[in-house]
Amino acid sequence: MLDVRTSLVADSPPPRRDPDLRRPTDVELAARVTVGDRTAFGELYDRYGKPAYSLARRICVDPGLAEDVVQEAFLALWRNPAAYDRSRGGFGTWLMTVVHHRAVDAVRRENTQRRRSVPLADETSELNVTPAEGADQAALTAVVGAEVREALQRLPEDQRQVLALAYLGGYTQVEVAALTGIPLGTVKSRTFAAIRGLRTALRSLWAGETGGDAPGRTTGAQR
Amino acid sequence: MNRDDDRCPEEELAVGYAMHALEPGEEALIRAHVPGCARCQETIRATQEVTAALGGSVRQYDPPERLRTRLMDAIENTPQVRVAEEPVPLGSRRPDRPGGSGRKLLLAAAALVVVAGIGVAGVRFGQLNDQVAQQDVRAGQLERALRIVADPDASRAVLQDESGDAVAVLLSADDAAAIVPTDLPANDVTRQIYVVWGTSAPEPVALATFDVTVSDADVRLLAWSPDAHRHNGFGISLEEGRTAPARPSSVLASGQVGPA
Repeated sequence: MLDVRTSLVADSPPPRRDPDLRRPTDVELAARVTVGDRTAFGELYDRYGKPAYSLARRICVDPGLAEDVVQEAFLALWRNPAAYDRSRGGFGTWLMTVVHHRAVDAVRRENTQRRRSVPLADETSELNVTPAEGADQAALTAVVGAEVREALQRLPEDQRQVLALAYLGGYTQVEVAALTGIPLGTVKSRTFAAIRGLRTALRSLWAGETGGDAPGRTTGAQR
Repeated sequence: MNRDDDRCPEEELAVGYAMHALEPGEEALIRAHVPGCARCQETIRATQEVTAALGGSVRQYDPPERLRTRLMDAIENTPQVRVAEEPVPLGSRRPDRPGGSGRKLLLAAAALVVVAGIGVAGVRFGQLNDQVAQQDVRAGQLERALRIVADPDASRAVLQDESGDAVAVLLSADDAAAIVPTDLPANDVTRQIYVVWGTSAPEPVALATFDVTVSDADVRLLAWSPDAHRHNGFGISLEEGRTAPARPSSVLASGQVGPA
């Protein structure tokens, strides 16, 4: 489970201790990557490799394809570290977006037939799982991950369905409309409503935990 | 995306774009729209925050150890594109030598480009030098292109694909422009052409065309105009045929003007 709660403080000012002992923030590590710091790059991988791989594997299904996706995403960071612009959000958000897009591209390009054969229920069930159902996964005990799921549970089922098919299934909205028999305009409006609802719910949760809004700190790492 | 009073009619498209769930035509439309719409930019940021949290909530798997090993090995053979945060003014670094052969100009301009942080790996300039030395016939065109590169008043846009990879750099001056392809595949010059689009207007505007070939992928001089120079955002598409269509079929990369 991606520990979003932990990530909320990922880019926060470090504790006032010996500056040599504190953990570097994601932004500091990303800045060091721009000057070819391999240790910083490795540290970013250690923080985000697991959630990145898990997302890629969920979308691609094929573990080998997921490995390729994660490798290419991190190599893209190495090639052009300036692609991450801290003014546009947190590092984790940026990286998970890159991984998601590359995974969707990969599955559309290389695994179309297999992806299409996955029952639709598989896409939506991932977002319907409760914390108890996932208790066998140690990572699922992460509190904020449960909060994300809780926020999802509060969404209407029809919104969850289009969100899951598009985000986890990698289907375009046109394909989602064709698969579900829902008009394309309705797919778009439901997706928009789902994102807005989640955004509101999660911002409220995060603000409550941090004492204020924390834009851009929505994803996190293995700490 | 929390207030309804200033909604943009394209926000639903912006959400779909952030989720990578649009068809190519819709994606081109929103790519052209977003640079001029703060509302949709914020919608995309907000959507990415939410989807990243969703992405982190799926069942977790430990990546195989070989992935880290493979990755750390791979970066040893992967050059970095370096884009300086605060470009050094070109004028202060301009060499004193006037004119000269195309090769000399190229070397000087290559140094200026690096100083300005345009973001082209040094290895490319080595290739560039060799190519130009063998192609005196293009020296005049290159010289003009490189003067644009060295023009402190020229504006610069790093054009990135959807993954954030820089694929080209566009330098725009009042009456001329140059494009430096950094990671664009060669097009079939018998039936395809790259098109530069201005994206600051309500609809994308075709501004110039160019080719990228396997043997010759260095700086390109573009036919330009003051109207083209007024755009703050640019995109690139690869089109079938040898002329620019009325609308882009699919925008491969886009970017905003920053200081040159």
